[in-house]
Amino acid sequence: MITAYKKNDMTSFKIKVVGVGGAGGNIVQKIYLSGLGCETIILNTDSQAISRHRAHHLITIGKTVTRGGGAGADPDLGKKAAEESIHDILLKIQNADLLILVAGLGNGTGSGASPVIAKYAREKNILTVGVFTLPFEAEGKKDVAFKAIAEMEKYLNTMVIIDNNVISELVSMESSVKDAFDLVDRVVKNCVESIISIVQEASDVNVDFNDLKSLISRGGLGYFAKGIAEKPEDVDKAIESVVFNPLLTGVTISDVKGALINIKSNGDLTMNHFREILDKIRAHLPEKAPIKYGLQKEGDHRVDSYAEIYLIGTTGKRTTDEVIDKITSKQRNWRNFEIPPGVRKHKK
Amino acid sequence: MAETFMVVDFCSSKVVTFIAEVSNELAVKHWDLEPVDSDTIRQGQVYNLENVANKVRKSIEEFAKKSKFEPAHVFIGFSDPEIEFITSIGMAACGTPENPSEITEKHIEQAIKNSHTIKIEEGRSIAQAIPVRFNVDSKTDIKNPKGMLGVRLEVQSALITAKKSSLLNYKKALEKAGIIAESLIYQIIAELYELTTKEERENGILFIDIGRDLTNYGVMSEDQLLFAETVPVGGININKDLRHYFHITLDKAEELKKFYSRKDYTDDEEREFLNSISSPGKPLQIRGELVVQYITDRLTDIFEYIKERLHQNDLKDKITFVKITGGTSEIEYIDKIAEKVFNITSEVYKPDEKLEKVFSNNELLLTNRLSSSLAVLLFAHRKLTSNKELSETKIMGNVKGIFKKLFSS
Repeated sequence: MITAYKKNDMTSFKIKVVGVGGAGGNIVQKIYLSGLGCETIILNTDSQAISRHRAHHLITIGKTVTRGGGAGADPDLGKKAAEESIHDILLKIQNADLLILVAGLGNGTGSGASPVIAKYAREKNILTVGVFTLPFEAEGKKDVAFKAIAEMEKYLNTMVIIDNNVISELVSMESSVKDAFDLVDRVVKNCVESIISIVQEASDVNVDFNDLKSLISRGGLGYFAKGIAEKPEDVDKAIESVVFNPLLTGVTISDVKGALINIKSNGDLTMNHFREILDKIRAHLPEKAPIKYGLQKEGDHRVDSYAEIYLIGTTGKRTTDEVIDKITSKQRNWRNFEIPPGVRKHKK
Repeated sequence: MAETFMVVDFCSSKVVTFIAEVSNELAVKHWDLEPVDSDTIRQGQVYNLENVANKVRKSIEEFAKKSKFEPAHVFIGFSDPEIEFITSIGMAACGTPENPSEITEKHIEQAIKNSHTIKIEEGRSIAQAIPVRFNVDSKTDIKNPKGMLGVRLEVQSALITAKKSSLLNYKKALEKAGIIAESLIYQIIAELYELTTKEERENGILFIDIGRDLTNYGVMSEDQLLFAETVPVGGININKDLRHYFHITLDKAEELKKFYSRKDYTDDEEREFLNSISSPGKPLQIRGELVVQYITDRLTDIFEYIKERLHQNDLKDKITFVKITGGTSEIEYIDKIAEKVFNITSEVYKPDEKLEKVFSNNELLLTNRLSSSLAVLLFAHRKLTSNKELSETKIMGNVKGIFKKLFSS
C-alpha cells in the first residue's frame, strides 16, 4: 500500500542533532556548516577539542571528573562526565521533538556519554535516533562499542550503524584516509538530511511528523538512504543508490518493515519518472511493508537536481543479541549479493 | 519396535523432519515437511524459536498418534553462512619404536579428540568434525588405521565451526518442542558423502546446492573432504533481480523464473503465461530472452564466486566434475551455465533408485529441493549403522543416550 498525505504545518518541529565525543563532534560540525534545518549541539570531555568545533551549542562535559582533559579510552569516565553535566545537556535537548545522537563508538566519550544521554532522552519521552560508527577492527575496541550499543538499544527508538571497516572496503585502495572518513561523515549527514527532508520541508503532498514518529518508534535498525538524479537519465542510478545502500551495517532495504519516502525536484520531474521511482522502490521493500511519500508538485526552488530521493525505513524491534549479531556477522568479503550482478558490474 | 532416530533439517524455507529405524535397511517411519517464512528461518538461521518448535512439535505429535515415540538419536541438519571450514591435526602415541603396538579405536578416538584442541575464535564452537585421513608413522593417507601396527598415529580432521549462538538456537528450538539433540550435520557434508558416487569423490567433485537464500558447496577429491562453505545467495536473488528489472512483485518474479526455467516453450504458451500473470488492463511487457539473461547472469555470478573461492583455496585443479542440486537446480539450463563457468562436465543431481525405494517413489520427497534433507537422513543413518567404518558421531562422543523427554508441552 502506498499512501500520500497532505501537507501539515511541519516547520515548528524541533530537530536537534547532538554530536558526542571527537568523531560525533566532527560530523555534527559538518551538519552545522551545511546549514541543514536543525539545531546542532556538540558535547566533549576534551575542552581543547571542543574549542575547535563549530555548532549552535558547544558543551564541555565532566569538567570535574576529566578536568577538560578528555576521557581517554575509558567509557566509565565518559559516563561519569555525562552524568556530571546532565543538567546542562538536558537544558539544550529537553524541548526537542526529535533528537539525533551521533557518536563514534569505541572510545571513552562516545561510548560512555551516549548511553547516558539516550537514557535521559527516553525518560523525557524524546523521540531519539542514534547514528553511530563502529571502530576499525585494528583498533581492538569493538567490544566497548557493542557494550554501548547493547545499553542504548534499551533507550533509543531506532539505531543506524555504520561500520568503518565496511567503508574502508568500499573505497578504493588509492583513496586517501581523508576520503574514507569523508565518506563516513557523508553517510551520517545523509541520514540526518533524510529526516529533515521528510519532516521539515513543506511539500504539497507530505508525510507528517507523526508518520516519522510511528516509523521510528518501531525500533530496531534504521535504513536511511539518499539518491540524486541530476538529469532525467540519472533516475535509475538514483533509485539504485536508495535501494542498495551497502554503507549501513546489518540492514538492507528488504529488512525494512515500513518506510517514508520524500521526493524533491526542481520542477521538471515527469509523472512517469515519479511513478517509476515509487514503483521501483516499492518492488524492493517487503510486500506488506507500508510506505508513505512526500512530494512538492510545483518543484522546489532550492533544488537544482531533476530529482532527489530520500528514504527512511526501520526494521522493527529486535533484541540486542539480534542487533549485535547482525552487526558482527562476519565480514567475509562476500560480494554484495543483494545487488543484481548487472547493476554491480555497472557500479564498478 | 526397533530403536528410532530423528532428523530435523533446517532449510531456508522449510523444516523437514524424518523419523526412521536404526536398522541396516533405512526404514522411514514418518516424515513431515513444514514450510516456514523468512521471519522464522532466514539464511539457515533460526529467527523465531517458538514457530520452529511448533512445527517440529506438530510433526512428532502426528507420528506419536501412530506409534510410541522415543528416538534414541536426534540429528540436526543445518547450514549457515557463518560456518568456517578448518583443518586440524591431532596425534596419539600408540607404542614405542622398540615396541610398536596395534592401533585401536581408543587411539583413533584420542587422536581425533586431540585434533579438536585448536584455538577457535571467541563465540564460535565446533559443530561437526570429520576425520579426513590418517598417517601412521611414515605411512600416509590411510583411510582406516585400526589394527595397523605403529608408534605414532596422526589424524587430519575437517572441523566445521559456527557461531555458538546460531548452534544454540537450533537446539533451543528443539528443546521447546521437547526434544534434546546434540548432534549436528552440516548439510553440504552429508550431500558430498551421500549424493555422490565413490568414483566421483575419488576423481574430484564440486557439489553445489543452491537453495532459496543460501548456496552450499563442497569439494571432495581422492575420497577426501577438502572444503565446504555456505554463501548467502540463492534462488530468491534471481526473483529479486527480476523484481528490480521488471518492477513486479516477488511472487510474480517467482512465476516468471519458473516459466523461463524451461528450455522449451511455444509462443502460445508464452503468451498465455504472460496474460495469466498480468494485472487486468495492464499487460506485462516482458521479453523472454531478457528474463533468461537475468537468470543466467545471477547463476553465472554465483558460479564465478565459487570458482574464485576454489582458486583462492588451491582447489581448482582438484575437481573434474560438478554436480548441482537444490530448488534452483530446477532451472533446466543450469548445468550448461555451470559448464561454461567451470569448464568441466556438470550435471544436475536427481534422487536415485536407492531413495526411490526408501520413499516408494513419493514425488513430494524425491525432488532436488529436498536433496539436503535426504542427504542428512542418509548420513545420520549410515553413521548409526556402520560399525565397521569409523563412526564420526561415536567419535564425537556426543550422541549416545542424550535424548528423551518428548511432548513436554
